[in-house]
Amino acid sequence: MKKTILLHDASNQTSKNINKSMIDLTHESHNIILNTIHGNLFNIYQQHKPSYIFLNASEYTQEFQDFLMDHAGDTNIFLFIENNIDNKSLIEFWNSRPVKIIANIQYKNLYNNCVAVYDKMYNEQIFNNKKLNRNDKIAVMLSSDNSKNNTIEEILYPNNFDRKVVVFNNPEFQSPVNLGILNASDLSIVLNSFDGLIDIDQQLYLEAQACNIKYYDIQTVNPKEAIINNNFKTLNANLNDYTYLKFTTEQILPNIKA
Amino acid sequence: MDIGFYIINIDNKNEADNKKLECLNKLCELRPYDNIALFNSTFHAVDIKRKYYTLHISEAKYFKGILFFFDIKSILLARSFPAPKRKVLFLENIDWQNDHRFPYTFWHNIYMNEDVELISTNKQVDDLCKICWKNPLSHIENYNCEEISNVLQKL
Repeated sequence: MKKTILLHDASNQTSKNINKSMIDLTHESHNIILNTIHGNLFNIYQQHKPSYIFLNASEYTQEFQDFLMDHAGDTNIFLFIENNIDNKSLIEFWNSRPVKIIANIQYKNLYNNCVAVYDKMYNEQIFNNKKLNRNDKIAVMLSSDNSKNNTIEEILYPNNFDRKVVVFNNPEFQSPVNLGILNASDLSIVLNSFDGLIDIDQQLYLEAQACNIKYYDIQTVNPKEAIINNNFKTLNANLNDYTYLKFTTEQILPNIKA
Repeated sequence: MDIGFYIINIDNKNEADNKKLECLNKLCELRPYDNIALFNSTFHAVDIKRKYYTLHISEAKYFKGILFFFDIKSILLARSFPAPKRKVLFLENIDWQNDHRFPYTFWHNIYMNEDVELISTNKQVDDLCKICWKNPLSHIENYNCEEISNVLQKL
């Protein structure tokens, strides 16, 4: 009889990508339930008796806490730690329970039972070189922290600058060249059709490399100088090492039995 | 040539609407051998010099000529129209500036649509259109009908 895996359909991209890889890799050997389990966790557990349950610390609720109190020993519970958790007593609680932690590399030292650790990853099915014709524009991926976005003001309309520069991904940033929000597939199209990328938070270097867009180096000089001097960063990561599929195959699947 | 203006609501208190009607009439004089129509739903104006045909907006779906639009709502309604030979959007406002929470593809599908040509109506819109989207087909202020007529020659 196939064992059941319950995946919480969390809203963050990392979890969505890992869930997709889990489904791709285990859908033949296991029954999979993918659900937003808020308000439903005990019910699903009673009905389906999943052998493996994946929850997210970023969406942790009293319901998850109660479930860990009641059932941590009855089933295999995995907890994704995507963000810094300020609550020390909560970390101590998780460390005292048989909960398997899947942690972002920045926070792994806080947890006793880390079964998998992830760093920056990218989705190779969405981000790849589509060999589209490139326009002459530069895309800026804004930071969610608007104080970091001040560095690009001087290259944006109405300031006089001889390159076409547009910005994305921060609705709070007031500019007539703010063109809105990009989901993953739209981002892939932008990275495949624009001439260059300024990434304020320096978070998209894997996606940029996969799509072969020029990635301006703004760590040593400001964005204006980087554009004027064609100051690009050399991106030479071994992309195959950073896919969600590889992470799931090598670090999560060994913890799942058929 | 078949030429249409798609204006859902016309209000006689709206100066821009009056200019559009004036432009339609002048266009009829400039191009007497063309079929020129207004596609409209609500007409709150008195146009005693009317030289153009007036049809309901639903008829525009089957209009095989060049169709001019003046706002986002109209161009969205016309997205599935199979018949128009070309769609031309007059850009009067920077609509994408109003709410940055919209997904990029919403605006991209309007302004970068291969079936839609853009005409800018002021310097700021012209500059922003070139930076954010594509080069406008022309820059025409105050619905100058001679310039619109010149644009028609390009299409």
